[in-house]
Amino acid sequence: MYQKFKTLYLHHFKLVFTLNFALSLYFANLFYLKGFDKVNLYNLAFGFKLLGYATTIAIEKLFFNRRIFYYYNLGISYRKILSIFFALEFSLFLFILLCCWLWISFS
Amino acid sequence: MDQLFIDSVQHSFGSKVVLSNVYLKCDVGEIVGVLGRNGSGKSTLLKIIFGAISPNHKHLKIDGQLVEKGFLTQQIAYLPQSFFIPPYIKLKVALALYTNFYRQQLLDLAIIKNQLNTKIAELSGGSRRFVEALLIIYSNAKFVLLDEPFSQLSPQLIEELKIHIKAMLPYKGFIVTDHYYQQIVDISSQIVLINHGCNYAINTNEDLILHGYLPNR
Repeated sequence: MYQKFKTLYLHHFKLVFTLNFALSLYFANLFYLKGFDKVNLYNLAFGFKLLGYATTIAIEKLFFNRRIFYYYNLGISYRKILSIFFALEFSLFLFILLCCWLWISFS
Repeated sequence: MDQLFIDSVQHSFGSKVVLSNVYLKCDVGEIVGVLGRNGSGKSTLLKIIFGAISPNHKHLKIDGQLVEKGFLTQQIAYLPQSFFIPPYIKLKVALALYTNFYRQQLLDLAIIKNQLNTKIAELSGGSRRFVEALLIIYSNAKFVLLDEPFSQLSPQLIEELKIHIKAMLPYKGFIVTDHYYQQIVDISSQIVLINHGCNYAINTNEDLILHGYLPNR
């Protein structure tokens, strides 16, 4: 199953991953410049991340009819594919923020 | 138990009832042929079994276990009417995704072996259809649903596909629907006709005429 997910994400999620990752980097940069004590920046970041995920769902919906049986024949539902993608992407975002915070704290 | 069983299928599109109290049973080692006129609900029935369509009501069991969506069990594979593998996927990637236990049998075939690095889109329409059908037939799933597998195939490829279906018969149960009804009659161990939303067991060609599937000459 791990191999299946790996192949799916590598082949079909490059575009949405790049968009979401770019957003993560942008906000990591903002946190780096403005500091980690701005509550509004957190709200803005999470708001934009949600918007990014909504855009991802909208983009994937465009391919839904074409790819439905491709995914279903692998025994995977769309919901599961997107849930895991969002979980991984959000974890990566938190990891980047953590790295930034550590960099600022110890430099 | 090795059995797929679906009962009490009811489905409608808007006010039009497509399937009403449809019943189907398929054991491993069996080919169930599903016939019916255009729009009779054959594909809808297969999609309901697979889990791609949620009907008004159904009762699906695989090996005695009640199942909500067939595809989530990974015991059912479905060949849709249209191409389902994205065109930019290479054959070797599709092979790795869909096959495991029976991969070597596919790798022994010239059409697969010689084109492993070919993208699906680079295959001709017939070859692409044939390859997709093979991937489904040789997948790990115990029950295989084939929706018009013979369409777009030359007579030679149709015969070849029938050989592959029969080769996997000891390990799998097949539910096949197609408008090439003679091909279905040839390979099926039981035939079911969907007509006016209900299913009828078919034993002879006269039954097909009786239910209005074949013209009365």
